[in-house]
Amino acid sequence: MADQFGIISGLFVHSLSFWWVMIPAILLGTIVGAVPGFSAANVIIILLPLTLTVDVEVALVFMMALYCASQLGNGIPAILVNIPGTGGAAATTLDGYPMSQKGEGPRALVYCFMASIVGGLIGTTFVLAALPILSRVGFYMHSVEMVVVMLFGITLIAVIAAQDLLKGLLAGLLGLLIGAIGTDHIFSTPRATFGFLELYSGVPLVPALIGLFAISEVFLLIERGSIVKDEFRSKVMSTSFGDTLRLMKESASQWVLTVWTALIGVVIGIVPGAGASIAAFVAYQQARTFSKHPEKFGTGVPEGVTAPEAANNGVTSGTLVPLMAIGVPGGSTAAVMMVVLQYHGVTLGPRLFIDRPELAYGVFTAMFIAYLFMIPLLFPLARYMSRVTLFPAFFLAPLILSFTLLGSFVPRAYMFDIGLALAFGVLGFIARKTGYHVTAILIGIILGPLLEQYLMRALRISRGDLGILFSSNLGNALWVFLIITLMIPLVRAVIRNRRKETASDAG
Amino acid sequence: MRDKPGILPELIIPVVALAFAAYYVSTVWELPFQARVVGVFVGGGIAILSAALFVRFAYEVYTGRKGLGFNQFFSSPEFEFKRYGLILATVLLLLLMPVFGFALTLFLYVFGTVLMLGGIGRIGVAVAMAAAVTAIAFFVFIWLVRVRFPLSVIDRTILGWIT
Repeated sequence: MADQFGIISGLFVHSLSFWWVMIPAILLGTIVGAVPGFSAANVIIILLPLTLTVDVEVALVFMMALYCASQLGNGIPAILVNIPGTGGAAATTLDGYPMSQKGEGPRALVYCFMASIVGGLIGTTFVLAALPILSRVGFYMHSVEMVVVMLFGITLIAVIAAQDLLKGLLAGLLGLLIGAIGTDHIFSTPRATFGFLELYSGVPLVPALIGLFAISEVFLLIERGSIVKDEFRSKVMSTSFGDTLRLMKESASQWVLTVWTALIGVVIGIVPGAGASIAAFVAYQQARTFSKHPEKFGTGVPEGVTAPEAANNGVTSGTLVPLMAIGVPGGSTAAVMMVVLQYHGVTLGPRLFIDRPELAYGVFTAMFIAYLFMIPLLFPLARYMSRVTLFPAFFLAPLILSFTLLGSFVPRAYMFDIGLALAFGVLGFIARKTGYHVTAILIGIILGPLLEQYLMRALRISRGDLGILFSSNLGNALWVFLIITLMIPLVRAVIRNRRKETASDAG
Repeated sequence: MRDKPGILPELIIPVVALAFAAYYVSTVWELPFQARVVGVFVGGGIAILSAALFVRFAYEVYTGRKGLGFNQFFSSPEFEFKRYGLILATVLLLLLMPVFGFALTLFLYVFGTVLMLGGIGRIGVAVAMAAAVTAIAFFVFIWLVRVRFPLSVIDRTILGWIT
């Protein structure tokens, strides 16, 4: 134990010496994360010629810093222009963008950075401290447990639908059905593909995300003229560095929420196949459930930014646990990292902690230091970034459209995907104009196929017996927790009404 | 009467959802249970919710809170022209990129959209923005990341100069 502590302490100091790799990787990762269609995995693949030729430690530090920064970068366009960099930041738009519209872009960005960095630091520390235990989490989370985890995220549809239940639920169900396009997971038979071969593997997430958020936003932006309402323009312009420091202090007060949601992110990140999107939606749902003012969520409250951002950055360290502990990548970025490490002759798995502890633990210490470097690099930029919201529509709309449309082409290199993004843009515009929430549609598209996959797997094992969903202790505990989180808002509403009645009777 | 919001725009999403659900169910009807279970359950849910919405809309029209038609959905003709123009420009981008290649199509797209949104008077801004966006996008997507966008003679010539 003392040996391990000594190794880890030494590794922190050692990781600091890689500042010259981390700083460019953080800046590149932040840009990559902010552009829809790009992901850390894509960029690491593109830069394989570089990472394969340099020393393994340098390659590892570069990949770690880029990965962490890209996760943080996802939240920037989600807050400023209502365009999440990936699905992991979709929940951030719910409160981040309303804050920008009120001229609170700098505040939302500072909360985003603080939650991301602190969430990342907590996640990394937790993983370093509890790696042997955490590496077993994947063994206990089977398809049954994952069905319940998915339902945590999907219940967010009902939360979003609170303002107009019928419209919200319909939007969510439409999203679930769109998510079920393509071949099924067991028989591989195509479903509702409209005859397009491009839809056999399902609806690609990036064009859907770009259409529902970016293109529909541009269509609405034309009418508004700019993102920030005129009366709030001076508020954005007058933000100083002193304000940023004050906001950092203010955002640090949400440490309980940050810790809680970052740990949600770590645990969900450990499960192979699960990811930042699920973690962010679950965290948002949890933050709203346990908030003192849940009715304000969706109108631009900082907690609505903190929870999803802490969670999706908690995922970054969680994803690496199965990779380092048992040699199974927890996501696409981890898979690419595995390729790089194997090329360098590093065999991943339990032996790595004995044979090369400097690499096994070094991954996480590098991650920790990368998050620390983000503090001086990114916070001073928050007030300048937020000025994007002041640009006129004739300037912003062509920029958003051209880069996001090109971004929708990147993952699969089909022209079809640009057309798909446009189709989702029209759908998103009509939905937003008529009061159907696009986030509910997106939750359905993201979580629908995953829920179906886990549900089908469970039903296949039980030969169609739904009783399997209640067959495990952990699963049953999660069911109970799910029911409790669904009941809390109702119980609170009843208590609130009783208090009002008592107060009016007394008056 | 003119101030009442029209009900027809609100019907678009339920009608689209219903039509899509019907199409989805028709494509999975013959498949094994596991492959159609989601479609049947979700499609059924959409049918029930849409029916409930139709009843609500009918009640809103009946009580006079909303009128028939598209009132309050469309904005001023100027904004509508710009919106349809953007859709048309994007369709043209989609159709012309395989013919004219990446750089030329993107330049024309940005140039056209800036002029359409900002007015003919901003021709200098439009040229500058189109050139800057095309240069950055070419550098990032074609040269650096090597995304497989359709390339024309112009693109290959530029690539030849750079490399």
